[in-house]
Amino acid sequence: MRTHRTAFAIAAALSMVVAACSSTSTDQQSSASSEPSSQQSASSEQSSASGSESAASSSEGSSETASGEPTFTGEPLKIGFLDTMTGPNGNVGTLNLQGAQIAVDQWNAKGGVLGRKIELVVKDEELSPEKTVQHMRDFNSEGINLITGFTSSADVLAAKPLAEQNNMVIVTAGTTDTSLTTTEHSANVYEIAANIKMMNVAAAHLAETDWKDVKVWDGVNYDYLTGHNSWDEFNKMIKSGTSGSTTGKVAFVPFTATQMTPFINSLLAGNPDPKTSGLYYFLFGGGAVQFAKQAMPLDMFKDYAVVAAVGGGEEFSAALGAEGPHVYFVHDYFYQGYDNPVNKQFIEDWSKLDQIPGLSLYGPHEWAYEGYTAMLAYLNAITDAGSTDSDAVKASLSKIEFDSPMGKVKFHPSNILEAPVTVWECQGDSAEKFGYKCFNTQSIPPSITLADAPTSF
Amino acid sequence: MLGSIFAGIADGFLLFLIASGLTLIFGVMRILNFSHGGYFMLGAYFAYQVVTSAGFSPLPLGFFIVAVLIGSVGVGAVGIATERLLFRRIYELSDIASLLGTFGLLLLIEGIAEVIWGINPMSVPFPTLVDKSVKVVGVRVATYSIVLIGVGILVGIGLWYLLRRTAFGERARAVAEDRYMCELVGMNTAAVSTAVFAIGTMLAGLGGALATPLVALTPDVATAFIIEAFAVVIVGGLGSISGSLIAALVFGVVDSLAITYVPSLSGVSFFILMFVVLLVRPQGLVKNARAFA
Repeated sequence: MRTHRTAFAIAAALSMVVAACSSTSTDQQSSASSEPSSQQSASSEQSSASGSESAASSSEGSSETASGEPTFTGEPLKIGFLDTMTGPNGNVGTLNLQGAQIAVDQWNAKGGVLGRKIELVVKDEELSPEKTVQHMRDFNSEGINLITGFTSSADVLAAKPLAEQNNMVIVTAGTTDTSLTTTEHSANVYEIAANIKMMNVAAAHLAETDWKDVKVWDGVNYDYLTGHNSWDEFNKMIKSGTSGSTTGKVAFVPFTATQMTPFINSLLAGNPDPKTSGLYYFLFGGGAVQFAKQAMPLDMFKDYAVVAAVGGGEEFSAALGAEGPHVYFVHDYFYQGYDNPVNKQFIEDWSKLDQIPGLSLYGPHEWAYEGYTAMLAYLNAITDAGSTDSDAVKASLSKIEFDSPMGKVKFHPSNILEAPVTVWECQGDSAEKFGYKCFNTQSIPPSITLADAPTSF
Repeated sequence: MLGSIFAGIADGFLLFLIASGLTLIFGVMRILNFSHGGYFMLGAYFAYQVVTSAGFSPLPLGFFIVAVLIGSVGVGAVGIATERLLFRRIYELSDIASLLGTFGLLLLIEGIAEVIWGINPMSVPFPTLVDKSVKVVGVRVATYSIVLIGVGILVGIGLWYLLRRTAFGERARAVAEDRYMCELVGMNTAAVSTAVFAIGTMLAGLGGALATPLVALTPDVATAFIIEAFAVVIVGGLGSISGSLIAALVFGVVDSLAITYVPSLSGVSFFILMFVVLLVRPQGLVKNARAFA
């Protein structure tokens, strides 16, 4: 009996340790991921126009060895990367990191920044404000003052007081809650992703221009603060618009819901008209796929002339493959929409990476774009400031204009990136390589989406 | 109203497939097996792997049935291995130790799935012939829901027959009643436990494989379903198959009606119902659970 108990204790402990490794692995991989992968290295060593003009100028402080590889002066520059890397939303952080690493590799291949090699120090905040605070303290004690990453706006709100207290800078990659650039604005926090307000303005704009036939908009949203706020905002814009359309049935789906049919039935109870009804779809990740899976046999998507997925992305179509419905995605970036050297190089470097298991994409995901652009913002600001000092970097972030995959961009006075919102369409197609195709990309400029954003605080 | 009730019944039967295996294992082994959700998830991933490896588009119903069977039997094999390697060492430990051990196993299975399949949502297409909807008394009903109801009824009848009308069922009920006495009279209780565990995990695998067209397949799908399955098992009466069936159907229908008519209760109606039932009948809906009533 004693040996049995000992054996069980060891087995259980091993189970716990191995499983726990899956959530702490990103901390351990931080040093590994701060080094370019072999493929990333290969790509970054190629002579290219990547990293924009600033990337080229950044090499001024460094020199090259006989083999052509850059040498660096001084200590490596460590930039903190804090994001949700595991769990249900771990794919967001993983893709944010993928983009950030591409930027780091591109710049390191050109000599780093201020002659210093750039390294990412990756920590997993596990979508927890408590973990976020703990890791922010760790970064501060490690002397790391420039932080990027972030998927959850709530985690940024948790990190904000520490950033202000210790004069650390945060450039968020994937956060979208409008409050971060309005009521919760901070001089220490900058945002790359289009926020909910910008995406809703873009969707409402299209409702007036391209989707004029839709007279009633139903909605399905996640049941949380941003889900309710987002629907309220869209509802207000639709009703105050000039198209004469209005809103109808709405369902709020808990994150943990496994049974979607009752929510689908509640929407179908409004008898949507396939010619004049639209569906506002504010779901993302696994929940968006699950809802669609259970809606498809009931022909729900055929009952709507337009399905507008606000904040959703290509991972939805990738998961559904050939049976995926026709959806308009309203988000910050889609790789097909922009023809410029930075975007071309971003796509080229992304295409050389290993594919993420289970994610069949034709081009870099918007979450990778967000991580990439957040790093470009930092690296251009550091180059402009000639320093990594927090105050100098903040001053530069607020005034510089830099090249991004969506063209020249700068930060709005509210500290959110003045970049277009992109709208594109995807649909299942069994003839395509991954079982779906995307097409018809268009940009809604910041002059529309940020027209009434606050400019003073 | 009718549409909501029908959706609730279909959801209830899927829940029953998971909960029946859980309660079966508890009945014989007295273990609250937290890792049961992991077997559900593995069944789903096994079926996904079979379907995607074949590359059919559209997916023929016959091949989907093969994938479901492979998923279920494959999970049963994993169940036998884990029962022999781990669970046999847990039987005589305290409830806390077995809970922690099985929870650790759940995390381990989730971690392995994350390494193999990643964390991005995946899906299996609906198989042909059951990918549409039909009108039942004027209500749109997914044909796949009718399949789930049919499979749930078959599994319920099969379990009843196995436990009530076969020699194996007699032995399993005897072990559930008094394992020590069975050992004294020379019964191979270890073999009975292994067989029961294999059947229980196969049911979880069957539920997972059948759920693939309905869910976004991610490693954490295990957690979402196991919480609901535990609620069903507790309300139905620990160890009671019929109790689990009744509880799963009641939960499914009440949750469905709550979402339709009182949306603010979505996500909590399930637990309110559990609270009320346990307040009125703390022993669960069905008495004499140990004998697989």
